[in-house]
Amino acid sequence: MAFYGKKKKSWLWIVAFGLIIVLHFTKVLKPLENLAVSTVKPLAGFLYGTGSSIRHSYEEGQKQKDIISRTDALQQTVAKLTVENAQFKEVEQDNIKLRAQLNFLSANKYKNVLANVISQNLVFDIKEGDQDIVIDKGSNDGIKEGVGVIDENGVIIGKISEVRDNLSKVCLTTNRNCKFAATIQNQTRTMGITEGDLGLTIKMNYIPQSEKINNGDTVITSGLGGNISRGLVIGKVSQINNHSNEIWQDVNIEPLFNLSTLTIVTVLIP
Amino acid sequence: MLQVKYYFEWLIYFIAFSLVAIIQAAFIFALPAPYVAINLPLIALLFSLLFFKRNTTLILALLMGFWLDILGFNFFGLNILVFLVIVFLADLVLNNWLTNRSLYSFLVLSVLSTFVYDLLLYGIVTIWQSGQPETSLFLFQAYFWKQLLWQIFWSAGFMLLFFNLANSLSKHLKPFFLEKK
Repeated sequence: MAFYGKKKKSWLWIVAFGLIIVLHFTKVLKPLENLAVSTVKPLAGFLYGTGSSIRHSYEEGQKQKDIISRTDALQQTVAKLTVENAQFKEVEQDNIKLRAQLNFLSANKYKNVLANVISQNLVFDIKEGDQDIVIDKGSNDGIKEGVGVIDENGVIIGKISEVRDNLSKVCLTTNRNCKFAATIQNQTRTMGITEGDLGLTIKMNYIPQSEKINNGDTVITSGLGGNISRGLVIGKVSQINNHSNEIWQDVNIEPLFNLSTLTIVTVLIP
Repeated sequence: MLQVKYYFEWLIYFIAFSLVAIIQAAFIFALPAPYVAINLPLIALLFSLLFFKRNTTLILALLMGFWLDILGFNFFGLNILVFLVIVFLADLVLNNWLTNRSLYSFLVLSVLSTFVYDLLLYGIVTIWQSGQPETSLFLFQAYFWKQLLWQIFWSAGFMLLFFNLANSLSKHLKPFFLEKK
């Protein structure tokens, strides 16, 4: 354990790094990478589910701070029960989600691939509003770029933005780089493009002032362009921003999925 | 027999440090805001400099970087590169500027390494994404600084905890600065 501090052939490490990069891009490392990913997928799925449950509990706790004085006793009971039944609930929720997905899919006749969320691509999203998740299915399972991804209720949560053999990246509807052709279910069936807003909500811009939109109107995918089917629910209109002196109006859309409870998703392949 | 022990030790290191990287990619990234800034691989690497030689730590950096690169969706080699640079830098600082292996030395090292880690990581990604629209310099974004401060907090906190744990088991660590002869 003596100090060693001599510069011993540091260049060898540069060569080693360069070699790994070359082997990766020449796909020599691909079998090893695929084997490694396949081996750790179940563990990563379990760890993500656990972390996700903790985040969900944490977020719920934050929301309830305002009314904590009135519901203190009840919350304590819930928290105790949550801890006691954590393992049971995890399995139960997975079961409910799978059943719901099965019902939705059989009703809509989509070709689908069920996938577990195994990670979030958070650290490298320089802008705070860019949210992505990583799922444990890839091109080997028939997934390709641009196809839609839904949760257990059939709500579209995003689309595939990048695919590898055994993994795929999903950009969420709340990600500002993720755009969807959408229709508002109002009288005139207003059409437009949605994009994420600060990773929290969704926006639809450049809507003519003549269009009559109401709070609570449902926004669905229009099916125009890309590989996403028509009629998948994106969210509900939560705010209408229109000023009489402007040509366009825009609306805020509240997404109907909760990222912190998202552990199982379905990729819809047209 | 010694050879078997040597390989067994490496197998343990391989499993333990792989697990750290997988926990980071799957578990830590799923946690809520302040906890998502915990950087276990960085802490593990700095901590391994306490016990292992630089080359051993570099191999572990390569291993953890590899896991994060194959489980993430950025260009391959980003994490490997950043971890290797951090280990080189930490080793350099530890042997040339810090007087000994005291808690204070490692606290300074964890703060410095976290700062350099974030600068390097975000710097490289910014260059990588420079062709994309609406790419602004991360140094002017509150999110970056908030993330950095939380990372420093967690890194220093974990270092404090692990150092004291290790100090009770090892004679190699010193709780105070040595006096200059």
